[in-house]
Amino acid sequence: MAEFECKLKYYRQLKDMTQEQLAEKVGVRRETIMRLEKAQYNPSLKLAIDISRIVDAPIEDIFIFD
Amino acid sequence: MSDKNKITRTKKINPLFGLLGMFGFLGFMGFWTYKTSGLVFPFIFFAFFGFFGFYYAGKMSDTLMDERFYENQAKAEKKANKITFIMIWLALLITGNYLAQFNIEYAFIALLILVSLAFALGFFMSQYLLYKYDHESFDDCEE
Repeated sequence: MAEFECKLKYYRQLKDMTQEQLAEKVGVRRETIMRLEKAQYNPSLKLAIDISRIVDAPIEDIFIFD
Repeated sequence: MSDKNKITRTKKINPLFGLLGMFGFLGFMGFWTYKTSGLVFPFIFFAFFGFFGFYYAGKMSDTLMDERFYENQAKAEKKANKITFIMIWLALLITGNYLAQFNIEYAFIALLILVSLAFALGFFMSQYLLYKYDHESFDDCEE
C-alpha cells in the first residue's frame, strides 16, 4: 500500500464533525474513517472526492502522498 | 449507478449458525456405508464443515458494505479460492498419480473426501479471512 499522510482528522474537526457523522455522509463505516485518519487505508478516488467536498478542503491537502 | 455504490448491509445471521458445521461429521458415515453397502456419497457431507464459517459471517452480520468491505471481501475470496484450488490440484495429483496405481476405488474415495474438504476449507476461509481483514489491527485504530 502506498504510504501517505492523512490530515482528515484536522479538517473534520475544523468542520466540527464526528467520525460517525462524516461516515454517514460519505456512506462508509466509522471504522473506515478511523483507518483513513490513521493512514491505514488507501481510499478510492470517489471516496476521497466525497470527503474533500464534505470537509471543504482540496484532496491534496487531506491526503499527502510523498 | 453501479450496485457497489448502493448502501447495503450484510445479511443478518446468528453466529450460532456456525454450529451447522457439525453436519460435517456426517461425512464419517461414509466409511460405514461404504463397508456395508458400497455407498460413497455420504463422504460429500465433509463439505458441510465449511458451515463453521457462518460463525464469522454471523459476526459480520448487518455490517455496512462500504468500499473497504468489498476490497476485503475480494482479498479474502481470492486467497480462499487459491487455497481450495491448490488443495484440489494436490488431491488430483496424489490420487491420480499414486493411489490409483494400487486401488482405483480407494483413490476415488480419497479424491471425494479431499475435494469435499477443500470446498469446506474454501468456504470457511473466505468468511474467516473477511472477518480477519476487517478487524486487522483494529485496536490500534480506536480513538
